[in-house]
Amino acid sequence: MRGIQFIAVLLLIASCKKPEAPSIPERYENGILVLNEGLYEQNNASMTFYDGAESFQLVFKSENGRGIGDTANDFDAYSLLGKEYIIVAVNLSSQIEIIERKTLKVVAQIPLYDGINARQPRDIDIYGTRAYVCNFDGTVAVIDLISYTIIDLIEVGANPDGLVIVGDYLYVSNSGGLDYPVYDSTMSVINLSSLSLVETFETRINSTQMIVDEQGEIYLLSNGNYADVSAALLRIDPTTNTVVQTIEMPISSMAYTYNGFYYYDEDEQAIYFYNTVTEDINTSPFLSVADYETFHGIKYDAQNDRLLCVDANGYVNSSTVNAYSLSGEFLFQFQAGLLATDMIFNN
Amino acid sequence: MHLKRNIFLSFCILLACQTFGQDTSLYLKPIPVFAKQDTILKLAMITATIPHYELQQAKLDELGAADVGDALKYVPGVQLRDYGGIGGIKTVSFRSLGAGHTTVQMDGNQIPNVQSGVINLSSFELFGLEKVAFSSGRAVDQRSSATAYLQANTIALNSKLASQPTKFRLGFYSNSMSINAYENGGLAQARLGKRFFIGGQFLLRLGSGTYPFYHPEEDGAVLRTRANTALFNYRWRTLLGYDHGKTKVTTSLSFNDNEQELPGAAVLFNPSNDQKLWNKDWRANLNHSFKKGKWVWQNHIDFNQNYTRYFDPYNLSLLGFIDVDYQQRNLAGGSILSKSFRFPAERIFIGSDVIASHLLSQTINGAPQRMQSNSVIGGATLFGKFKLDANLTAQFIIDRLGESVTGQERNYGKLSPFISLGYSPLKKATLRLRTFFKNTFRMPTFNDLYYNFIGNTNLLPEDANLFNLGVTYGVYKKRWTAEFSADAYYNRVTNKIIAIPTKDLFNWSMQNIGSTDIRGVEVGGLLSFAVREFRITTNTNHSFNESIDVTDPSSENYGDQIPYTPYYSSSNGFNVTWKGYGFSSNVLISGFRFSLNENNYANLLPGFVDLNSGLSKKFNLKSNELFVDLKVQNLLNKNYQVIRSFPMPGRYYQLRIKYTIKK
Repeated sequence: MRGIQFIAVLLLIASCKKPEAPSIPERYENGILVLNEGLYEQNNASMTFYDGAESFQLVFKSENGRGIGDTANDFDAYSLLGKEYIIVAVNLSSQIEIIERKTLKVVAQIPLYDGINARQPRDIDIYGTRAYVCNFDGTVAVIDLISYTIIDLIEVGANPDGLVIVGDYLYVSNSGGLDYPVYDSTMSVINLSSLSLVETFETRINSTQMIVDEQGEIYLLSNGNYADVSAALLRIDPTTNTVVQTIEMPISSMAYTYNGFYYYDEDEQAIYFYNTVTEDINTSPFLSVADYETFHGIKYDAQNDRLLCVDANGYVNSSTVNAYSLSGEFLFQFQAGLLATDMIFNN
Repeated sequence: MHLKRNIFLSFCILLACQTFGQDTSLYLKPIPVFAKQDTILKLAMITATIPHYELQQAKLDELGAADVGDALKYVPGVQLRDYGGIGGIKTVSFRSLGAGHTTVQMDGNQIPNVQSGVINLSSFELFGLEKVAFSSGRAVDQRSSATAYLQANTIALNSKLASQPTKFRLGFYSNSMSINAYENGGLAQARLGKRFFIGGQFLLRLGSGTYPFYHPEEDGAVLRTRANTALFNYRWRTLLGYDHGKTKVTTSLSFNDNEQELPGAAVLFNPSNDQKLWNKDWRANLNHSFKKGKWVWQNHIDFNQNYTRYFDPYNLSLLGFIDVDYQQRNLAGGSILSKSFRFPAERIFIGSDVIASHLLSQTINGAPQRMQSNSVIGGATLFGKFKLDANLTAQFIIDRLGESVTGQERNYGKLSPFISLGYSPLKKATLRLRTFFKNTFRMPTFNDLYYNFIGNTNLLPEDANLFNLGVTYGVYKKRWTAEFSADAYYNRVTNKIIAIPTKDLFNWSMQNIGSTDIRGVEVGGLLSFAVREFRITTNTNHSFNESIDVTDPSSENYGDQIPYTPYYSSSNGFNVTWKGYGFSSNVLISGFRFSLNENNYANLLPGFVDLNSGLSKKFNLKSNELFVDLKVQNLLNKNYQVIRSFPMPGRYYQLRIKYTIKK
């Protein structure tokens, strides 16, 4: 009998350590919705909602009774016919998920497959009633957001990893990221009226993220080869589709504000500001993030005029999100999920 | 999702998929007790002052296990890492010391793997094995070579072929599972004159292995299919033995040919799964032993060659596919000399092995070669009611890169002491107290050191200290037997070799940075009794294990339970036999675990209960024996996950038939 009691006590101790299921917020307003990429083949992509006081984990799963899938890379908010939505690209599950912005309930799920082979959506841009999704299999899918159907598939370069829209054109950066050491180094230009590829021009190896400034110029991040070819920032003139400037520097993440963008310098482990009007870098860092374990991206919250920086904590632990004012003052911190990769700011 | 990361991921996948080494053999006389080996009534016969479990043939039959991994999961303290399906990799950890700290030996010969340091236990089928033994602290098999004393834990497999038949022996085996998986084998063994015996065995495994499952990340609405699981595998082994009392020689040759589809992680909504794996393994062993008086001199030469190819026909690189292969060769030779004194268990021994290994692969830098010398000196003595058992092993390693541009050479040297004490206060020795300490290590493997981009040539060995304190009590009566055992242990792992990101997501490296504190309690009991023609045996084992990360006090994970380690696990068995009929039921219970370091809800893997039940009948016809067994596996029909994203098959049925002719 005493043996059973002993076991019962040990069992009780063991069960006390079990974490409780997360709660959900009353509403998804006045807060930050974070997309957490999760780890490859772990089916643990997730969403976090921070309401200014508390962060709620696994909110997509709580609202929909299922996980979002494997490796969620990008999400964007949009409005259509007076309703607010979020579109999510889930890379390894190879799905586009469309959810209501303020309830997170799934409205539509669009698989992106070539037969049984996953196309692996990577990045999304919205224009009018269409979503443009670049897929790692070298295509751009054009999705009609009213009928939730794929209306076209346009072939681009290898492993496209970034999208921007300038005027009536979609720019797609082809990274060739899966082809080390021979990366792709091109940009594909698609005419949005005819949905046809109109031009492909040379940029620089392993190019991914892009932003557009108020003059319509494109800033493109080339990651180099992580060895002897350094990363670089490229300035592209979309009127001529040429690279007008290449600045070699250890840049890895950009967030556009106004008249410039903040970026992360890997060597200095600090955030700097690039002025897109004067084309100058402010040589004194805006913010040092040297105390981060693993810096993993920077986002700008236009509504509250603040900057959010992600510490991915070694990639295998929950990310920490830190908010700063544009004067560099630390505002608050909250915990997100595994590999926080994107944010939407809900009012 | 850049290349380095992909390489890292495929590295992880390969770690999960490599199937190296293999073996086979037959079945033997039933010994209906599953207990610590330790339960022997005479002090002079005490062989175990350590946790030592033996699974005999009858117990293996009851468990319905097909391979060594499946059988060992019932040993208290063992956690089986099982990726599910047929042909999937299986490894075990014991008290949170992983497969890298475990030696696998067949008839005393170590099965090497310098690449990953891990042996896939699903490559060892139970058909053809007399016994599966698991010990912690030291190797127990007296045939063990010096190398076997190095590591913390030992899985010792005894093949039927290595034991001499009375005249001849013939056996057939078939196992059909309703998940579309089949195994068929045969064994033949005969004496050649007075002193020689020869035998061979063969096993064929095949099937599509497909099973339906509910994905754990869904609400259970959609029944999905675990596909890309087909397997075609055959193995054979021959053994020629010479037994002249004083001199014994055995020589054996084994071959394994495996072609299988790899069911990767069950990625939610993604059905594409088309990777394949091939293995071709050769193993040759020559063993010699010479006995004179109280002296025994044993020698062995082993050769192992493993070829593995991994192929992914669809990959989003320009090449469009991934095709990697690995070739590993090991040549080992060694000698061990022992002398016994008043009792067989009281002895001293000294021995040494030399092993040369090399590995070739596109994913491994510079064709590494390893020369190692492993030596042991040890002994056991009895004084009064005490038994003292101790040994000291030394390992020296020289690593060289075969195609080296830098010509770098690396040396390691390390000692591993072991000491244990057993005490039997009662005259009949039915109560025994035991304790042991072992300081051991695992050398960095070739994957750790040289894997493209990730490998780190500055790695040091990973250290482990093991302490155990245990008690066993047995009551042996004419009609009933009862045993009870309890162990408390403390293990500490430092300089743990783990992969960490260096600069960004695309640059990972192996580093010696982890430390783990492991504490636990194991309690177990067995009761066996006979009522008229009935024989009833029941056992229960409970393990409590707290294995916490003590790497960095400033880390969020400091004090968190390490991944895939339940606080509580339990294995239980119930068996009734009556006039050749048998009913058995086994329950394995695992508490919740975490799939990553952080102990949060997102990483929580729920506990599970794996219950099987079966009926068997044994027909004895003169020198023939027919054994038929029908089992229901995973009776509760839940697709639990041992490893995240790898759901196990639900309920399925298994029909096993064994036919033996003995003379």
